[in-house]
Parts: sequence; C-alpha cells; structure tokens
Amino acid sequence: MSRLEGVAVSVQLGGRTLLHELSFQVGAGELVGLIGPNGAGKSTLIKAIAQVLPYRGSIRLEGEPLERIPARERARLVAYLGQDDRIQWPIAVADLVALGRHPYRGSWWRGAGRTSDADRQAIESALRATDVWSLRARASDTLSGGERARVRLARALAVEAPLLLADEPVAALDPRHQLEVMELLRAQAHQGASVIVVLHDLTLASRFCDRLLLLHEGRTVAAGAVETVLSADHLRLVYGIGAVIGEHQGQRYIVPWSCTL
Amino acid sequence: MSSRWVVLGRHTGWLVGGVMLWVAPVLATTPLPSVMSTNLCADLLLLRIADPGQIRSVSRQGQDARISPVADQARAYPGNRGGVEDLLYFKPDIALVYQGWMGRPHAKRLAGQGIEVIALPYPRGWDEALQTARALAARLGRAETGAALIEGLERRMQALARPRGAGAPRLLYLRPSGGTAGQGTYVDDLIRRLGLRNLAAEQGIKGWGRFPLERLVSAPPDVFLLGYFDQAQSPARSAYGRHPRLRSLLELTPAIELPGQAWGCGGLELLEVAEQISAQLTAIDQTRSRTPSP
Amino acid sequence: MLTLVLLLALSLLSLVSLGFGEAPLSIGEVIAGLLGTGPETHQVIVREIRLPRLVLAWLVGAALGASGAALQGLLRNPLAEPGLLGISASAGLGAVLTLYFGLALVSPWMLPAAAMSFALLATLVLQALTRAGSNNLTLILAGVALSSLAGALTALALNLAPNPSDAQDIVLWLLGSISDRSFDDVWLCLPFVLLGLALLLGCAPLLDALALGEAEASSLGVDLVHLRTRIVLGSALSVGATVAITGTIGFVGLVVPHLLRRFVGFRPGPLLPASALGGAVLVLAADIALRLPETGREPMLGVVTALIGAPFFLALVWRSRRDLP
Repeated sequence: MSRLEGVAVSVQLGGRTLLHELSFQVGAGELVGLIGPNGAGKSTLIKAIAQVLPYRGSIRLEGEPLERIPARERARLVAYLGQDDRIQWPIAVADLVALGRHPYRGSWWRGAGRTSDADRQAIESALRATDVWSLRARASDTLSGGERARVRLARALAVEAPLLLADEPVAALDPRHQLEVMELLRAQAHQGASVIVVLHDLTLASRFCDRLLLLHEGRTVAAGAVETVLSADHLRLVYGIGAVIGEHQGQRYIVPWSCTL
Repeated sequence: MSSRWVVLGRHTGWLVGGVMLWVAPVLATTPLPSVMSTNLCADLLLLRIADPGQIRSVSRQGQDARISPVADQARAYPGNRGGVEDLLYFKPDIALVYQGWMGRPHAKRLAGQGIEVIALPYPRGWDEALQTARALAARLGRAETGAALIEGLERRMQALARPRGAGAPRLLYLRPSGGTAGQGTYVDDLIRRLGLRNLAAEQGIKGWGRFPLERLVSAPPDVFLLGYFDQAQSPARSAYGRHPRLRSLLELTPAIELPGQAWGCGGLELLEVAEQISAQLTAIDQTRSRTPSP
Repeated sequence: MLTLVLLLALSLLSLVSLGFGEAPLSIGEVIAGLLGTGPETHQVIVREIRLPRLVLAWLVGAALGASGAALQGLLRNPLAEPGLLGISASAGLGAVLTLYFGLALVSPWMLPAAAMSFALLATLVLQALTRAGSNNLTLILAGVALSSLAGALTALALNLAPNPSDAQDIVLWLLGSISDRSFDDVWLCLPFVLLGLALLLGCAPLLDALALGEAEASSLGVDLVHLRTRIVLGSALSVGATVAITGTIGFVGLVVPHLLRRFVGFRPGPLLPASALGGAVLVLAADIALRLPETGREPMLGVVTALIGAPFFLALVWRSRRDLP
C-alpha cells in the first residue's frame, strides 16, 4: 500500500472546478514531481492534500483519511510549504524555523515556551541542511528572496514529517541553491519521507524525481516514470512547446526551445 | 346774571371735574412697556414684578413643570424658545435675555425694530439680586409695586440674618458632579447671612469649583446642602454622586436637600430657600438636642 | 526579562499613583492607609478613592494592550488596535444607549453587557470586511468608517436621550476618564476583563505560527476558526467591559505592542502578555501625568493617550509610506 493515496479528488472553488476526480499515489521514500502549465491545478492539489482547501473524494495517509486525523497529529505527519513567501514580522531566522516544531509543543500550561532537545536537534539540522545556519540570527526582512525560500524550507523540514508537500520551493533560487534544495529533497525521500514537489523546471523534475505527475486543466495527463511523462508529445500537448531533450551522465535534460502552434 | 346759568355752570364744572378726575390717571400714565423673557431665570423675575398685561411671552423652560417652579403661572402666556425670531415675532418693547445670549449680534437690528434687549446679570449675592429687581421694576414702569415687593423680601431676609457664632455649623453645598459653591457665589453669600460657615470657602475654593472627594473624607461638613440630587442625572457626570463613600457620608451626616431648580438662578427665590434652610437647620438642631449624646 | 522590567515599572507607578491626590499624604501614610495600619481617614482615602482608580487603570491598560497585540497578530497588521478599528467607539455607543435610555435601571449588568455586545458586533464586521487578506488600506478604511459611525451615533443618542445630557457628556464618553470611580465600578467590569484576558493570553502560542500565513499555520495544527473566535470574543469582552466604565480611550493598543515588539524578537506570541503589562504601565503613566498640573481641572485620560498615540501613529505612517498602496 502506498503511503499517500488519493482517489477521485475534486476541488471546486467559486463555481469553477479546479480538479476533476484526480487519483494519485505516493509511496514511502518517493520524491514525486507535480508538473504542468500554470493553472493546471498543481497548487490546488497540494493545498487539498494539506487540508487547506476543501475537496471531495478521499485522501488517505497510511490508510487513514487525512481529514479524520486530529489537526495536531496531522501537523506532525504532513509538512506544508506554500507558495506565499510573505513573512509578516521581522522575526529571527532561528525563531522562524523553530515554528516548525509547533506541533510538538506541550499545552501552554506545561511550558509551551520550552524547547526540548529533540526540538533543538531538529531545528539545527534543518538550518544546516538548507545552508542557513550562518543566517540564524538575522531578521527575516533582511533576507534575499532566495534566502527566505531556504529558511521557509528549513521550517518545513524541522517538522520531521513523513509527508512533505512543497509548492515551488526552488522558484526564487539561484542555480546552485536550486540544485542543493533538490538534493536535499531527494535525501529526505531516501531517509523514508514521501515528498511531493511542484516544479516548473523540467530538467530538475526529470533528474531528481522518482515519478512525475503531469496535470493539465485539473486532470491527470500522465503519471509514472520520467521518460514516459516527459515525452515530446506530452510537452507539445500540455505545454505547447517544442523542447530539446538530451542525456548527460545518464540523466535526461529538457530545454524548452520553441512555441508550437 | 341769571342764577339758573350759575347753577348749570357749577354742575357742569363738577361734572367735568369728576370726569377729569376719573380720566386723569388714565391720561396721566403712559402705557406700561410690553416685555417678554427668554429663559427661566428671567421668567421668575418677570412673573413676580410685571403686570400681567405687560407680559407678551415667557420661555418654554419656564412652562416646563419639571424644571420650573412657576410653570402653572407661566402657561397663561405664549411660550418662546429664546431665539431672535421669537423676539421679532412677539415684538415686545423690552426683551429679557441672559448674559451669554446667542442673539447679541442682532441687537442693532432688534433695536431698529423697537425692541430693547436687556441682559440680566448673574447675581453674586442677595444684594445684587435686589438691585437687579429694583432696576428692572423701574424699567418696566412698576417702580412702586416693585419697591413694595422688594422691601417686603428684604425685611424677611433680615429677619433670618444671624451673626456668625463661634460654633456655627459648617455647611457644604454639593452637586452630584462634585461641584460646589465657594467664595463669591450667592450660595456663599446666603450661608454667611444665615450666620453659618461655608466649608468650601474655608477650604479656599473661589467661585463655582469642585470639592474633591478626598477632602470630603478628611474634612467633612456638619451639614450638607444638596443641590440637584433629586433630578435625573447625566450618568457620565455624576460618578462623584454615586461614589459609595459619599453615599455613606450622606447617611451619617444631616443633609438639607433642596429641590432642583429652587435657586439655580440666584434671584429673589433665594429668600424662600433661605427660609427653608433656616427651618430645616432648626429641625436638625432639635433632633440633635433631643437624642441624648452617647 | 522584559516581564520583570514591566512588572517593576508597574509596581513603581502604582505606588506613585496612590501617592497622588487632593489630600497631602506622604508615601508612608499611603502605605499605612493601604495596609490598614494608619488612621481611618487615610485608609478611606487610599482604599476607597485612590485604589479603585489604580485598579481600573490596570484593567483598562491590560485590556487595551492585550487586545491590540492580539488583533495585530491575527490580522497580521501593525496598525490594528481596538481604538483605531472602531471597537472601542462601538462599545461606547452600547454603553451610552444603556445609560441614557434607562436600560441600566433594569440591572447594572446591562451596562457592560450592552458595551460588550456592540464591541462584538464591531469585531465581527471587521472580520467580515478583512477576510480575504487585510492590507493596510482596507483595514484602516474599515476602522475609520466604523469609528466615525459609532461616534456619530453616540453623539446623536446623547442629543435625543430622555436623560439630561449635553456636549460635555459627549466629550466625557469620547475621551474617557477614570476619576471618581469606586470599587462598584471595578466589580462591574472585572469578571469580563479577566475572562477576556484569559481568552486572549491563551492564544499567544498560536499567534507565532500565524506569521507564516494562514495556510502554513493551519498545516502546523493551528485551528484558525478557533483562534479567530477566541481573539474576537476576548477583545469584545475586555475592551467592551472597560469602555462601559471609563469611556473610549484610544491608541494604547497601537503604541504598546509597537514599542515592545523589538524586545520579544518581533514574535506575536510573547508580545501578548508583554503588551498587557505594558498597556497597564502606559495607562497608569498617562493617568499620573494628567494629575501633575496644579490646576483644579484634570484633562481627560483619552486626551493624554491621544497626545502620546497620535504623533506616534503619524510617525508610523511616515516611516511606512513607501509600503502603503
């Protein structure tokens, strides 16, 4: 049984149907890439799984319907990294990342403010893994876009959840950090987590993801191995582009080249 | 001369003389000026002094039984709201207003219409009240009636006057807002005439000031004079009056309660108030002497 | 550390406040009066006249400070506070309607009840208006509209009221005062303020997560509906109950969180209890300041807080004018 299973998931918002009876599976230790053009429904699907949007159909984590798991417990099982990167207050980076331990804090009368050793370790490893350890005392409003993206990812990693949902985590990053973050996500998957990541960069998707899920207008166009999903036909059909597809060191790269009619 | 003509002439003389005697007073006097008053205090004075035939209009306040002691008397006349239009409508010879009357800029126009606007001063004592009354009576052509009235009031007031004794009780005038009457007010004047001590004046308060709650605790009066406590209070401004400490003080200390608008104007009504205070004080003294001291 | 400093300041100012008054009591006499070891008059003065004023200052300050911090955390907007957003003005409207139209005669509890209900109404309206993200412009406009409406209705109510009232009453209500109050007034608002504060302070740990945005906060286990309800209720209860007794006092909920933010690492959670204490300190300081001049007439408490708060607000706006849309 796969760790995460979605059956006939539909999302309607403001009278429009954003997802049409989507079904998907994510196993333990898998890094699944969610790709598709703008408006395909990728963020919608991620939000539905994160229980941020209401949906019809069933999404089960280890066989348990996600909506039935109590919020506190679910918070330890599902870590969500959204697209909106606005952080309201100039909070120190370390404190921001520490928010990822929120699901583990005791009730307020049992000393909610205290950080346990497990908390400290999780926070430190998250800070180091995302290469923001040197920034840990900086205020969040002094960070560059890329630094902020990494800090937020660190916050999500600090949760140490078996399921990690990341909505375009590398969009604001420079090439080096893009590679580092994708390596990081793959490492998380290898350690046993299930990771779903929304990507626009097709090369990154092809190189790092175990499986891909291609969405178009709220429906699954293709799901499965990278070669099958990222075929020239699919690219033309779904993205409306012609691409240069090649291979380097046993991994595929896809360079969007031209617009098709 | 024929005696018949002499007799006729004499009779005619008597007839004419008689008629003249009858007509003369009417011909000799000019008609009294018509007058209207535009606020309660002016109403009180006017209704006492003027001839009913002179009065064109009284204020609506004066006709309001809730605040006017002469409401019944006032309702015999048409009411006005004290605006310039009212003056122009009723067109009296004299209009009585208060010192801060809003229509002052229109005084010239009103004078042009033949209306004389007289602003009655706010009295600072009994003597001033008498003075104002005398002056107004003269102006209204009622000098004699006015003088007689005022003389009578003066005599009654003098009957009440006492020299201040060494052990005279200390009175404190209080309003629910914490306001009191210090030196230079007609309340203070009255208290001194009755031979009593005004606590507010002794504490150095001049004019219409405030008596702080704390001072009330450290230097309480012997007798309270409560003004406006019987009327419905503006809740925001009567927090002082609701304070439990004041309430308990009022229960323990003798208090003379005066009906709301009894003396708000400081005019001739002060006499009746003085008589009331005097009477109540005697009653308090009697109860005190009757109850054996512990 | 900050808590300690604030508590110290509060204790010091409390002692100073008790030392202020018409009767010239020395600090020793004040303490003797407080503890009950001094002469009876001193005890009465300190316990029945000065102490209620002090306690009321604590309650008002804590209520305004805590709800200001809570609203700023919830709406993720540094300009949110009960005065600016019209919550205090609405509570004042409720209080005026009760007092001046005879409803308070039914029961003295009608007064805080009406004020709290109107405060609740205002908070709900604000919530509805700023659901889809609250940028500064929407929030300020909503607050100004609500404030003006409530203020105008208050003035109108006072004009039409069967009980006597005039312009001075309007001033008293819109500018607030805690003088001449007794413990009767304190008991009338105490239970609600304590309840409201408890509701608000319990939200503190949840507000930190909200800095990440509603979606991520919700994924961290924060029940947004629950949080919103608590803050709305807590603010309505504490602010409503105090406004019923003192009239509207503004700017405390704006100034205090802003001043203390840097000392709590800008985190909305720890800011809540700190703002409660800081609010009490500020209101107490203002109340002492207005008693400093020797003239017999005291300015209204709301005037002093406005004199502190309005320039502060201007400075805030000036500094962030680049960010405002």
